[in-house]
Amino acid sequence: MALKQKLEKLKKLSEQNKQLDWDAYKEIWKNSISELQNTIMNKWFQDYEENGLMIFSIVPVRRIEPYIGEYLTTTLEITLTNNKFLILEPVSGVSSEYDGKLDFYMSGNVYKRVSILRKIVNDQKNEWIIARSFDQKDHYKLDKEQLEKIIEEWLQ
Amino acid sequence: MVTINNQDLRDVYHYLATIENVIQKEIKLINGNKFHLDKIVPEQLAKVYSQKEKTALAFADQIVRTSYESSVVSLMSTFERVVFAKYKTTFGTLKNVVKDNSPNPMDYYKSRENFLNGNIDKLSGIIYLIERQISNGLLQKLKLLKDHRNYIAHGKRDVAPPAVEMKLADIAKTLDEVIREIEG
Repeated sequence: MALKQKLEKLKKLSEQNKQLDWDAYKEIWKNSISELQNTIMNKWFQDYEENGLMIFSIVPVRRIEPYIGEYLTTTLEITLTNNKFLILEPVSGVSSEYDGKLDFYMSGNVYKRVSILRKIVNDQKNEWIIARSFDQKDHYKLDKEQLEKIIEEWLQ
Repeated sequence: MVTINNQDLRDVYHYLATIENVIQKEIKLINGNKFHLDKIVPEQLAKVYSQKEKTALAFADQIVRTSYESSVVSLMSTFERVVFAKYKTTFGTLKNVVKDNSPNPMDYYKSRENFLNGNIDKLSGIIYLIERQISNGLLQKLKLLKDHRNYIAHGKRDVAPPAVEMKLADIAKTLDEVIREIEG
């Protein structure tokens, strides 16, 4: 390993060991949720809304969680025709293996549910993962196509 | 349906899988007919959650969630009962072996049996005890399940939840494998 890499690794370890500022973490988590919801509503699924195939609602929710405590955030509800509702619900800003999770599910349909997991890449960037099951082989990078594919399956 | 070898765990898993199955079937009927909810809730709750489709479905979602969480706790408590019974039996046996066979200078100590730890009373203690006896993958799953149980049982306040929840069948299978490896 080159010296630069070793020094960078040391620096990273040192940063990780610093006491986490949970208040700052909480704000970043809340912003991450909003960003994801906005991406879905205003970018990925905007066409569906404009064509009257989806209606978006943002519903305020209160959360009390380990480490980050109490906060207000929002759930995204997507209403499809024929009384079908898709819910994107924040679960926790901290989770095992990842840096926060949301549930995405079809309301009233027991097993139509996936986890959407946040992976912090650096201070400026998150990566979102969609997990269909506990098995790592069922974890994919979240994008428009993956989300569409899941909804399509659920509607079959 | 998965095969569970340990009888206690198998019985509980079968009860829970049946409850899950009943709930799943009933909730399917709420879809498209919100008033079906009134047939399954206690009489006093009739028409409370069934007036709007969205409310009825949200109530159904919470039934599923609550049932799942109760099942996780139930499976873990059964597992604890089984492993603690085995631990106590093993401790008793080892204590007698030490008492009967310890040569000098160990015999010098009247309290020689206490060199064995018979005071483990938490699952974390058992995990510490077995961590070199079971495969790493299985150990990680067991630790995750313990944290998941704690997350639910302690009011979702002091432990992070699992990123992805395991299905009941997978939980039962994992716990059964741990028991099998301990026995092996």
